[in-house]
Amino acid sequence: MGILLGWGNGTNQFRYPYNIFRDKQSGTLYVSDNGNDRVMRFTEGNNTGVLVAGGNGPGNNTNQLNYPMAIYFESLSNSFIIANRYAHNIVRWRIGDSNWTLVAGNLNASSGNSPSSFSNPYGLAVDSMGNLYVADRSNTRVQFFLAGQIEGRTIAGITGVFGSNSTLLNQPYEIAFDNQLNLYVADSYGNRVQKFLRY
Amino acid sequence: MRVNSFFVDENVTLRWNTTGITVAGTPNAFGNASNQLYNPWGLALTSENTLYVADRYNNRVQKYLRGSLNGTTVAGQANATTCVSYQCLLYPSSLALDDNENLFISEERGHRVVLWKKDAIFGELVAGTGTDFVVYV
Repeated sequence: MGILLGWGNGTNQFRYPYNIFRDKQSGTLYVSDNGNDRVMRFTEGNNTGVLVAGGNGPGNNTNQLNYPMAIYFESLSNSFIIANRYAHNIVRWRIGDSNWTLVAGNLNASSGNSPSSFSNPYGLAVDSMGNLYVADRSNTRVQFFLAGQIEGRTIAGITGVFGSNSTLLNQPYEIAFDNQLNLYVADSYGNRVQKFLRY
Repeated sequence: MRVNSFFVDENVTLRWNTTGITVAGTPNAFGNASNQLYNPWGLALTSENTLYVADRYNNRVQKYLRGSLNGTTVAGQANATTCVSYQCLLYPSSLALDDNENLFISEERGHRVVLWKKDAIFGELVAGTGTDFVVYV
């Protein structure tokens, strides 16, 4: 009989780990453990993790995560910014807290294609000025939020228009920036990485 | 071309060209040739703009020197095969580089995080206990 080995919800296990964030100063690794709806912390050299966010099953309550995707650790505030996929929002979870607070998207977990909504947010990035960028997968766009604002603006792709020409995206999964703040987009179903030059 | 400017303060203007340039992969032609990707996910960049891409369904990580569309496989197998060993990856999902270009990789279906040191031909376990290969016992 076939059995599954090695994955689970122990503190040394994952179920679909989707994103890692490494703190370069300490070497600490943070992992979004998607299928366990939690974020785990691994100090360098330690393969047993410590729960730092979620872990209360999938759901939309503020003490839960709902398939966490990308994570960003903001050392200044000692908190995570988390792409909370099925809640269709971006949340902040301070280490030591048992709840998140809303950063962007809808508090009631509804999806949408307005400037303040998401549909399956997958990737995120935060620049040195605290501005937020989100790979809004099912709206097939990249959204920009000035620090502290909840109204986003589209900087790559066109909302709801899937495609593979140079102005369109096909379900972006992740975003990254180089030192000049040029934008890179993993255009997953376009099977390419697109670069959008800052000018 | 649409122009979006975001004036953060008097010194910083944020705006991006809305026409993208392909820097890895062949649009709409997935595959495992060196100039192809198959459902890319995680990205990582060095200070020299070397780009690393988690090439999810190809079970590998590709590295692109700035300006090159030909990737070299730096983790997993170039021909996209997977296996139950630290020479293979199973659906790599995200990447993190340290300052020496050692590469931390999460594996969506490997259910683990591994470290591939620069120029290594196999990874080392960092966290997690295993894959979701079905093991018959």
